[in-house]
Amino acid sequence: MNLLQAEKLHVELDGFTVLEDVSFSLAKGEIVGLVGPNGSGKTTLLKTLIGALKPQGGFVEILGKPARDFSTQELARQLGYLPQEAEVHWPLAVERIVALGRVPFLMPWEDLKNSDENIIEDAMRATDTLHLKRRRVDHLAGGEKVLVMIARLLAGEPKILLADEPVQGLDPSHALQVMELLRGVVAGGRGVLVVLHDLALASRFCDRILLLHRGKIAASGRPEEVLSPEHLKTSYHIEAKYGNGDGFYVVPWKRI
Amino acid sequence: MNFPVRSSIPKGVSPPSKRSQSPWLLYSVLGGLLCVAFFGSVSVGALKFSLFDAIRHPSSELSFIFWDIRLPRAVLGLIVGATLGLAGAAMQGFLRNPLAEPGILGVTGGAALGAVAVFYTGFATIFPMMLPVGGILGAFVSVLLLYLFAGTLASVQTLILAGVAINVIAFSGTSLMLNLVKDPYAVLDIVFWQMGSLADRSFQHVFLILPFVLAGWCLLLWDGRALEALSLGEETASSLGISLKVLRARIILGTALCVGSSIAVCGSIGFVGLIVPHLLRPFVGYRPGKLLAASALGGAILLLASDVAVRMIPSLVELKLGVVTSILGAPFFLLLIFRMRKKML
Repeated sequence: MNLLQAEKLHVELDGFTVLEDVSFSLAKGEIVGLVGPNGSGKTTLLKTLIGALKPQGGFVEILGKPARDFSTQELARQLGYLPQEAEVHWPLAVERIVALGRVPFLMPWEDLKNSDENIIEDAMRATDTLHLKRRRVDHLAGGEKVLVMIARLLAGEPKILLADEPVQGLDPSHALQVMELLRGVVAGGRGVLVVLHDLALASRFCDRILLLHRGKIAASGRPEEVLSPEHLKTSYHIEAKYGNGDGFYVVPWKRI
Repeated sequence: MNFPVRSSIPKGVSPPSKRSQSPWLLYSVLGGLLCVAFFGSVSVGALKFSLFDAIRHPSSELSFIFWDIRLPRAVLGLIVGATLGLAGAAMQGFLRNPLAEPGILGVTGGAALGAVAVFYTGFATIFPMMLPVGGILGAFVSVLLLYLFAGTLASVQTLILAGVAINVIAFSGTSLMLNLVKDPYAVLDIVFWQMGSLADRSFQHVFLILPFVLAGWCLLLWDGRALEALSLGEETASSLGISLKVLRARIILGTALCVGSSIAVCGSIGFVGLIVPHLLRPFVGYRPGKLLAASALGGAILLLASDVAVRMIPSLVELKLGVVTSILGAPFFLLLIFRMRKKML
């Protein structure tokens, strides 16, 4: 059974078609990369999957059950979402932010239980942020902040993780750390759908790639199939250099 | 959980303690201060006497002063103060803006207009229950207008402008009614009432508003966790299972119920909801959820203390409570704006 299945999604915003006939699946243990030029509909697709946007056509299935049959809370327990901009409106301590990952499991009057505290600590340890637990989030560097947000995501123990550009603005070391972390997460039987602009990282870390172009899936499959010279030429208007020494990788080279 | 363990904490160094910061110490300190303020409020007045004497002689004049004048005044101070503190914290959490406050954003003005309308039409004398209902309706319309004008996450400027607009509408409505009243004494009554006061209120007033206030408090206190989730933005909050529509409805209704009914019996009392959450926020680790109960306690303390000050400041006529909170709050408001402006530069 697939963790997530989207069938013929059709989404319109303000009368414009943003997604058309989008079908794909996400299985246990795989990282699926979502790539495509700016404005190709990547973020819209994620928002449709979390239920923030209602599709005009098609449907989404989570764990074999139609997504619309889930209550907001049930959906939140299965599906974790990391938005593109990590908004934090108050200077909260890191451990408080990570603890928010447990919100779907708590009644409004309930406090964190010991088991919750353990999960929160595990999530911080996994993301290498335990030493920051008492720090204020507004005092963190960009890379640290992203790791904290991923810890928040992991603290919810979702089966499906949707991450919108988690490596945006990170130095190579932090970007690699985030991708390695996602690899570790799927090893435990979860699935990750991650939006990436960095094709080198996408080619290195994703099991499969979906290439979105003008709201349609232009190609999907293994990185070497999707990131082919023809696809990069039609979707991005670029040429790339390819390597195959220690696994397949792509480096964008020049515009055409 | 089976996450790969990659910790940067060297072996042999114990990680920071697991105990989460508990707000109970803060709650007990605030509770203690509240007891002191409440005791101060029932002890201070034009006539000095021992509370013990008043309670021991149930039929004496002192006993009457204690039970029918001082005690309802203190209880009402507690209720209204807690309401204003709680509503301020809830609005700031919901709009994610430290300048949100019932007075500045026009909710108090709207409630006052609603209550004056009930006074003016004479409904209040026929059906006393109409007074809080008028206040609640006025407050409800104001919060709704505010939300329509500014929406959530409006910039500080938009929010304050929306508040100015609602205050202007409420002020013109109130002025219109004052203008139309024929009896000059009634005009004076309304004007004095608008300045806000806890004097000459009885337990009748307390019981009149209590059901509305309690319902409002429940709606607002229920939202603590949702407000915490909202500090990560609307998208993340809804991905965490928070229904924003329901949250919005609860905040609007809760604020209207408790602020509207409180203002209807005490007149306009401003700035409590601005000062208190701002002072207490660092003590709860900036958590909007934990701030709710703390601000309710803090609001009650501030209002009771101000009401004691009103009675202790020597003046020919007793100062009005709303005047005192404004004198305290206005410079505070300016200081906040000044600090925010410096941050923006």
